[in-house]
Formats: sequence, structure tokens, C-alpha cells
Amino acid sequence: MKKTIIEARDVCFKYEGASTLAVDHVTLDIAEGDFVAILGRNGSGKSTFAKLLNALQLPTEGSVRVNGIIPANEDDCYEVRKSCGMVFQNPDNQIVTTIVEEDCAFGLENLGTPPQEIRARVDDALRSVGMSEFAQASPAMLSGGQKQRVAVAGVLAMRPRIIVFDESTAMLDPIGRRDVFALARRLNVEEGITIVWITHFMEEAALADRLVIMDGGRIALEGEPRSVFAQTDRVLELGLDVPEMMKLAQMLRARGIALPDDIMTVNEMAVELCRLK
Amino acid sequence: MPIEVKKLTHVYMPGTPFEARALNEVSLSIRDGEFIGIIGHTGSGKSTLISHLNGLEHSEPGTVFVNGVDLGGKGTDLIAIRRVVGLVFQYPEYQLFEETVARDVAFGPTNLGLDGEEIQRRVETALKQVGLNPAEVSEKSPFELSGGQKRRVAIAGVLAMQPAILILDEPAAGLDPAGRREMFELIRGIHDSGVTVVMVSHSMDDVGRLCNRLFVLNRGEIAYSGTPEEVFVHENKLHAIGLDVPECAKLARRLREAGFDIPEGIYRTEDVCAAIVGNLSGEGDAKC
Amino acid sequence: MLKNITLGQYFPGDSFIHRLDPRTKLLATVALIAIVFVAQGFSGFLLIAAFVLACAISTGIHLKFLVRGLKPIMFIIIFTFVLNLFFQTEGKELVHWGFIRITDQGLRMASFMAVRLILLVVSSQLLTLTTSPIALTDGLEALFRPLEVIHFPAHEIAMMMSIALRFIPTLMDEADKIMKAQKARGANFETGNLIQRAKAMVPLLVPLFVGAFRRAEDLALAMDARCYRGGAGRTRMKQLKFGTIDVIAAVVMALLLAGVIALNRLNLF
Repeated sequence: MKKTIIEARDVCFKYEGASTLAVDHVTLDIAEGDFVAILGRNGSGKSTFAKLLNALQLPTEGSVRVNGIIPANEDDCYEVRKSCGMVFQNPDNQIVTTIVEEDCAFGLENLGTPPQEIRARVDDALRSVGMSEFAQASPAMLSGGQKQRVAVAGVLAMRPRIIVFDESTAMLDPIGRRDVFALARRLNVEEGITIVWITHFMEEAALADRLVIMDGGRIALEGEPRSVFAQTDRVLELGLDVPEMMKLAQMLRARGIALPDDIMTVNEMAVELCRLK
Repeated sequence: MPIEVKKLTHVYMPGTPFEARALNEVSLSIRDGEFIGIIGHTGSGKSTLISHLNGLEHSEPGTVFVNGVDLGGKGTDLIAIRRVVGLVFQYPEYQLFEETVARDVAFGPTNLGLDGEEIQRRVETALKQVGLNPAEVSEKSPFELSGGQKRRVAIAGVLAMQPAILILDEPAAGLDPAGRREMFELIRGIHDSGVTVVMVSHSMDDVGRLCNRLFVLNRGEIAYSGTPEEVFVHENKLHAIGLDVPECAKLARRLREAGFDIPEGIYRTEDVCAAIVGNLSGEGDAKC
Repeated sequence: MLKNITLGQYFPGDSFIHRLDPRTKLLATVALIAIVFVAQGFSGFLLIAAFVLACAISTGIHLKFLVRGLKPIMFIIIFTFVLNLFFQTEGKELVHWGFIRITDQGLRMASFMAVRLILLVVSSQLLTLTTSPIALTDGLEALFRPLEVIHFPAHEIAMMMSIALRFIPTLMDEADKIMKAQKARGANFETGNLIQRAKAMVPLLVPLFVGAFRRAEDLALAMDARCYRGGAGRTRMKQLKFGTIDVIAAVVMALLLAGVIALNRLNLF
């Protein structure tokens, strides 16, 4: 049994002046080492939920326990942010300094880490995201995908147990997107870091261990990506999309071809169809 | 209003250490009423190319022609060209600036020197074209709208100039899946109303669904061009330059290699479905 | 492509002056300014000028960059010169023409002021040419930190400066994009009279400011997420360290001061 690292209990969040809850009684457990994707249309509350995970916002009702701490005061908030890092959507708006390696050091400097240790950890983090050769570069000269990797390194240097990616691939081109997703996947597998991956892209969500779909601040669907996407009509109704092969499978089933309802990839489809021939 | 590009080369900051060749002898032509897709990733030169098409970048004489007018020619009226070729940049909502939606959309037509009544008429038409209700949004501040609505207002701001050719750079970037679908429907509608559309995208899925002809740019050169079918045949080579063909095109190739009788280049979900049904049930002209 | 233009006027290099601690360079510049005012005769100025020139040559930076930096303030130099020339009425009369009266004292004072100004500008230019903006910010923060006792916001000011440096290329890029987008809507930034041109800037400036505020909010959130809570308890990866070369620099500055004072005493010319 894996340890639960995030425990959200009946969490609500209401923005000041808003009439409805942005997050509406969400209860969710995330196990340590999991790769969880959160999908949902714009305004479904997924980004707000993400900010509740690292105490950038505190629930108006209910509680979120992260790595054993329910933040009650400012110091707790910093403890939570230490164990739960966050990578944001816009690569330009989260890099603080004019030199890559200094940006990676930013979090550790805030924590008051001794200089030699910062040095060592920054070098490690940059190596880990493959940006060592850009240590002295100015962020303005990097591509979007490279900037996001720098942002990941900045978080990684703080040695978090969890990293939340809040639509971190939304503004990248396909190569940058693939790159950053692969990096998150590798950190998950090799370092055992729990990943919460918020996205609009179905093909990314399909590769997660677990998929949560939010709508109107609540959890609408939840489970293994395969079984969630198999509810094709429901997923489309929620303003989302399903992997192309699932759409095709549904069409083929409508034409009387007996296919299982959890085909997700081209490979699976090809194998299944060849068997039928 | 056809567009003709002849051996267009563009070098950024020539003669400095930052010299970069964004376009290298690119030639292409676009006919009236086409729906063109331009694909390539960041740095492939696609943004530079579309900036040339309405004279935002200075072209050498004899390289870019819109309706026969040489954009690099001496004394060419570029404002007149910009009324004919509308250009919607990436994340166009970041260019909104007026106090009300109506005034923002009116910015373009006002710059064209039209009279008040005509401007008013155009603003309403353009807002309707992007699926917004003029009575509802006209007097609102553009900054209080949702992200998707802002983008529609920005597109309306270009449509209000009533261009014969509309160029859109990644119009669906950053939208959620439903927002993407709506955006593409909207663009399809604009094309159906008789406007020539050029759409820049990273997504083969999107351009495959919408466009009748594609240009694939790589390192400032046109690597492949033709109908989607003709382009998707180069699956492996496209993959090598970091581009993907639609999933169904991949499946079609896999099945063809496995002995299925599937025509080359098909990529639409319905077509692939029909071909599979035909193979498995023996029906010759299956439909999906 | 605006982002490719180097910011400020920093010239990377590895000269003695480049390698000095930014605090040393800041203090030395202040000291040099003081020494310029200590000098009372041309012999002193000559020594300082020789020293500044030697420094400039040692950095390997082309002298034309230093001269170029003087251009914008040429007017002020000439203005000060003329002012001193005409309004200093003591001393032996050299020229008397109508109400204009130029004396030897006046000429001397006017030349002193002009030379002082030139030396001030050139030496502060040497500082910015040899120190990266970020090192400069770090140096300023370190020097002003003692003042935090009297609630001088040294850390906050340094943080603001470095964030500004970080975002200038981003915002320049954005300005370029917005300008193009508005041009595509028929905007005209190039022609018209002053008022028309100022009005034409509105479609550029409003989105630019809106964008800057949006970025500021995002950045504040990102800084919070990385546990930023002001300067208290913060460490730095790169520690500023005084080395042997900084001691040498201090000695050189002391020698320069001694030389200027000696020349003042000798009262040569």
C-alpha cells in the first residue's frame, strides 16, 4: 500500500466577491509516487485546486494535508511549499533573475540554505533537466521549452516530494511540450516524485497513472485514463476530447465491429484490427 | 486576391553576430478561396513569412505580390494592402486596448478612414461573425470578458477591416478542447463566407481537418507542400523534423503494411473507419 | 529580435578591473569622484586623467565607447563652462566687451568644472562598462545592507532592480509584437505631428501596461511558490568576496589620493 501524500477533504474555495465556489467540496487522495493528471475546461477549478495544494491559497472550507501538514500558519505554508513545488503556465513570468543558474538558486536562497550547498544542488538540478550548458545564459535567449526546464530545475533544487505542473505545456510548441512532459515522467519514475499534471492535452493525460476530470469546481470523473476516456460521450459533454483512437473505436463499434472499449493507442488498435482480419 | 511569393529570403540583423536566416528562397502561391495551412515549429520561419504577406516586414522588390501588387515596390500603399490582407497574431487578445469592445473593434476601420455609419455597421457584422452578440458585448470593457471571448473580439477587430485574405497565427493556442473546436468552427465559417484563409499551426490534426492545401516549413524552407494526403505520405520524414501526422494517418499506414487494402494518404477519422469496415466486412463502398 | 540587443552597456571581459568585486568598483568610483573634487590644480587633474585613461586602456574596451558616452552630456559641460566663465568676475581681466567680462580666475574655474564633469562621467562609465547589471545590483545591495538597521529597504530595492533587468527584454519583445499587431490593423506610428504621434502610442501602451501587470501578478505568485519572503534569513549562492586584487585596488586609490594632495601642496600649475 502506497503512502498517501496529498489528502484533500471536502475542500472548498471561493474567490472574494464571487457568487459560486471555484472549488466545491473536493475530496481526493493522491498516493506518493503517482502521476496524476487533472483535466477540465477553462474555469473548471483545476488551477485553483492546484494552488490549494501548495498553500498559495488556503481553503475556505475543508482541509488539504500535504506531506503530513495541514497549513495553519505562515510557517506551515512555507513547509508545504518546500515539499510541493509548482511550475506555472507562462515560462516568461516565473523566472526571476537574469541568469539561469541564479534563478535555480532563488528558492534555496529564500530558504536560507548555506551557499556551498546551494551551489551543489543547483548544479545537480540543472544537470537533471539537461540545462547545465546554459547555466550562465540569460533566460531571454532560451526557447519556451528550455525556460520551462529551467523552472523545473528551480523547483527541483528545493528537493520537493511533489511537483504540480499547472498547464506548463500550454504555451509550448510540440517539441517543447514533449520535452517537458518527458522530463516530468522521468522525475516521477526515477526520483519517485509525485506529479500532479494539469493540462488541456488529452494525449498527455492519457499517459498518466490516474486521471481526474473537474467540472464546475467538482470532480466529475476519476480513475485510470483508459476507463475514464472509455466514457467518450460523457468526456465530450464536459467540454473535453478523447484520444483519436477511442473515437475511431466507437465509430467502428457502431458499424458492428467488435472492439473492446478501452483502445487508446494506434498500436493497440492495429493489433486488435489485425486479429479481426 | 491571389498571393504570390517568389524566392523570398529574410535575414535578421545581417552583418551582426546575431545574423539569422529566417527564410531562404521561399516560393508559394495562394489562390482565391483556398484554406491554406502553414505548419512548422518555432523558428521554422512561419511567423516571418506571414509578416511579409501584409507588408509588416519589408520585402525586396519582386518577391511578394498580393493581387499583382509588388509589396516591395517603391510607393506601394501598405495601408491599402493591410485592408486586403488581415493578420491575426498569436494570442491576439493581448492587443486589446480600448475602453469598450465596440471601440476596439472599430480601431481598424477607423484607421481606414471610413465614415461613422459604415464603421458601426462593420463592428456589428464582425462581432456577429465571431459569434458574439453586439447588443450584449459592445459597451463592455474588453478586459472584463473571458479569455475565449477576448480572443473573439480581437479577431473581430481584424474582420471589421473586411479583408479578402485572413491570416491567423495559432488561433487556438491556449484554448481548452471545446474552445478549440468552437474556434475552428468559427474560422471555417469565415472561410465559407468567401474569405481566403491562411492558418498557421503546429498541429497536423487541426490543419488536416480544415485545410485544402498545406505548406510544411522547416528551417526557413518549404519542406513539403500539397494536399493533406500528399503531405501525410511523408510520415517518417515529418517525424524526423519534429512533426507528427494525425493518429488515423498513422493507423492507416500500419494497417496497409499489415496487408489491409487502404488508399495512401487518408487521414480523416471517417475515411479510415470506412476503409476498415470495407476490409473487414467486404463491403466495397462502406461509409462511416 | 529586440531581445538580442545587449542591455545597458556592459562589455564582458577578464581584465583586472572586470575581476574586481563590484563593491570595490562602486567604492572606488565614489572615491575617484571625491578625489576629482580634492584636486585644486591642473597638475592634479592631469594625474587623475592619466589614471582614468590607464584604467580604461587596461579594460580592453575601445575608447570610442567612453567618448560616445560623453556626447549626451556635452551640452551640460559647455553650459557649465560658459556659466562659470561669465559669472566669475574676480581676478585679472582678460576680455571686456560690453557687459561680458572674462577674467583669468573665471577661465580657470570654468575649465576646472568642465574637466571635473568629464572625469566624473568617464569614471562612472568605466564602472558600468566593466560590471554586469546583476553584479552591480548585488554590490549595491551589499553596500547598503548596513542601512537596513534604519529601515532602508536595501534588499527590496536590489530585488526590484534585478527584476526590472530581467523583464526589460521580455517587455521590449512584447512591445514589438503589439506594435506589429496594431500596424496590421492600420495603425500608423511613423507619421503625423507630435500630438498625433502621442495619441498613436495609446494602442501600444495600454496593452503593454496591462501585460506588465499580468506578468507582475504571475511573478509574485511564482516567487511565493518558491518560498520568497523578503530579505530576512535569505542567503546567496554567489557570495561577494574581497580578494587580493581588491586590496591592490584600495592601495592604488590611496596612492592616487596622496598624489593629488601632494600636487595640491606643491601648487605647480
